[in-house]
Amino acid sequence: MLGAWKFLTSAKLAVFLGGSILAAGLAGTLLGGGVAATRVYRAPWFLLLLGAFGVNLLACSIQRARFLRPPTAGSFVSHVGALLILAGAAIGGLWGAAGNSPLPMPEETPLDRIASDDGKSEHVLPFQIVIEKFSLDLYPPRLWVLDRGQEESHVVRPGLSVRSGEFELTAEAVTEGPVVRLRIRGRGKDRIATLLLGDRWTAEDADFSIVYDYRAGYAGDIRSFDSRIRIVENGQVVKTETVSVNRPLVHKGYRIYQNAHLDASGPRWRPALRIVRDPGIPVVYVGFGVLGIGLLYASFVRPLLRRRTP
Amino acid sequence: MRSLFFDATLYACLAASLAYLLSAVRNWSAGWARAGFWALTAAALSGIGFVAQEWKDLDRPPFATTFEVLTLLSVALMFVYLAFERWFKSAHAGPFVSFLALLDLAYATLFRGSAQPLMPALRNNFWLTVHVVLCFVGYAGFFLSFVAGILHLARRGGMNRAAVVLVLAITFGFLLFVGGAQFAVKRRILDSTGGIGVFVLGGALVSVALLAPIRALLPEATGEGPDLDRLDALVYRSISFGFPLLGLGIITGAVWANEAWGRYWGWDPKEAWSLATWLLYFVYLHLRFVRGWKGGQSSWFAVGGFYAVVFTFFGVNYLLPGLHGYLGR
Repeated sequence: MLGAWKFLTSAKLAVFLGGSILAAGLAGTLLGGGVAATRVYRAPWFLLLLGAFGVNLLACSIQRARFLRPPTAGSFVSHVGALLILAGAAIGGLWGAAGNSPLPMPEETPLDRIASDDGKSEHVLPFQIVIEKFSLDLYPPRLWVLDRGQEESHVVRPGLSVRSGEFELTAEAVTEGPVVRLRIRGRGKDRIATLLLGDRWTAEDADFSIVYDYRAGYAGDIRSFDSRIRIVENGQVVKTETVSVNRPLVHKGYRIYQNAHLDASGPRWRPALRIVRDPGIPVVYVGFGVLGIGLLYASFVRPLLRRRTP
Repeated sequence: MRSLFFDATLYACLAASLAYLLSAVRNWSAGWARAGFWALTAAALSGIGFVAQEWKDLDRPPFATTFEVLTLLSVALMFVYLAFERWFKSAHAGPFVSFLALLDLAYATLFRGSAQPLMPALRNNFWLTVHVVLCFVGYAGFFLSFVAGILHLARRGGMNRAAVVLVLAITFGFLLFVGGAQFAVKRRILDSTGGIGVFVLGGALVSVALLAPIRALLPEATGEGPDLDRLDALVYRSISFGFPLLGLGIITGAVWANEAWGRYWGWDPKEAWSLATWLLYFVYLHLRFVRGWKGGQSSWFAVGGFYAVVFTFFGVNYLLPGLHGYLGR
């Protein structure tokens, strides 16, 4: 019994487990995307390693609690924080649900279930989601300077001056419409070009072009996605709110995120909703707080107290 | 777009580098070190002015594009170093730290004005701002520990000094060559940076050219120079400073990720490598406390940690694209 406890609380075990988790985690970053998720991060052996590390951390924390003194308090609190984070993650993994759904259009059937991230199961929601309105806010069109395979974009404003190789271009006037008048100097010539949205100007004697446009569907043009959402329960609308990136809607323990995914056919973003139910989040957040306090105490507060003690 | 504040930061940092350099070549002259301190203070304050101006102009915290975060790193490094110079009452790391800050600012200029508009998740978010600032101030602490580690190893002399000269020459040789090639392409002096062979050959040549100046600049084992124990303490203190900040940076990043994507941890390459870097420094602190690790081993660890930080910051962006890939723009 004592031997087992010694083994569980040993620093060598912590180093072995922590090192293995880290090595696997870093190897997964080389595999990338879905392959890493199925072969590493959601694989039973990886979850087992995390679980074993949690048990080791718990045993070490209990062991340290018996010898708790001010010098080791920060380290002890940090261990407890890490333990809470792992516990929260386990709770989320066991009892949580998460998945993406393409944005349901207003005329479509309301969304009442989500497919899990691995596509193997479906989670039925205790409410329905109806999209009232979806809006997309774009950045203004830009000037794209294409020069020998290099590409630069500039926000257009009167007086904008850009130098590219032998050419120098100045935006002399910008009007709504949108139209921009450019003066282009280079190769001993001074030229004026008036570009409407979507136009391209190309130098006759050089591999140099200017395009005034959004990049059709290019991710960088999108300033924000917003969805006006209705939550329906038993045929009654119980909540109407706007969900945008960084501002999820919370209802009955479910968090509804405005999301987007890259279209497989090209660099075009498709709006989507991500719905997450993670009962472990409060525990994880408490763990974050406790770990933060432990780190601050051990690194800044304790040395300060030690210096003040005669 | 040009910014007076940014240019002032760059030139004041250049002035600080020269003043600290003069202090070093004149047997650590206190007068030149003081001039370096004030020039670097001016650079750091101009950097704050730049951040404030950009924040106002862009209507968001300017900590999202490559240009912005490189500038933030440089300004953070200046402030952290200045605080440590006052605390340790020693300007011996000044020439190297100010040169690192200058190199970082010069590299930042390559990305000036070429940033794309920000994707929605990166626009004005409290947790994102706190996350970036904490991480970069933490990185600044690790950069300082790298410089202190280098000085410590140089002062130990013998093989340590020879090895450190070689490591520095290779590091800065390749950094300067890659940065120079990127600059030439940006300014249309060259059509492309060339293949891997060009990088290897060019980097190796610049490294060889740097060997002699680096050997001359690094303090000798004997004679005037920083005290070994103080340098060892500086390595430890600067890591103790960076470690909790990077930890808190990872935590606040997780909170932001949960707000933006509905998950606080996704083994994104940047997340995984940041955690690895943080754990590396955790091992350092653990060994220091438990086994009383000091001296050469400890300094080599600090030097190695710097490369982990640089890979986490740059390497991951370019080699392992993930959610933080926007930084490459």
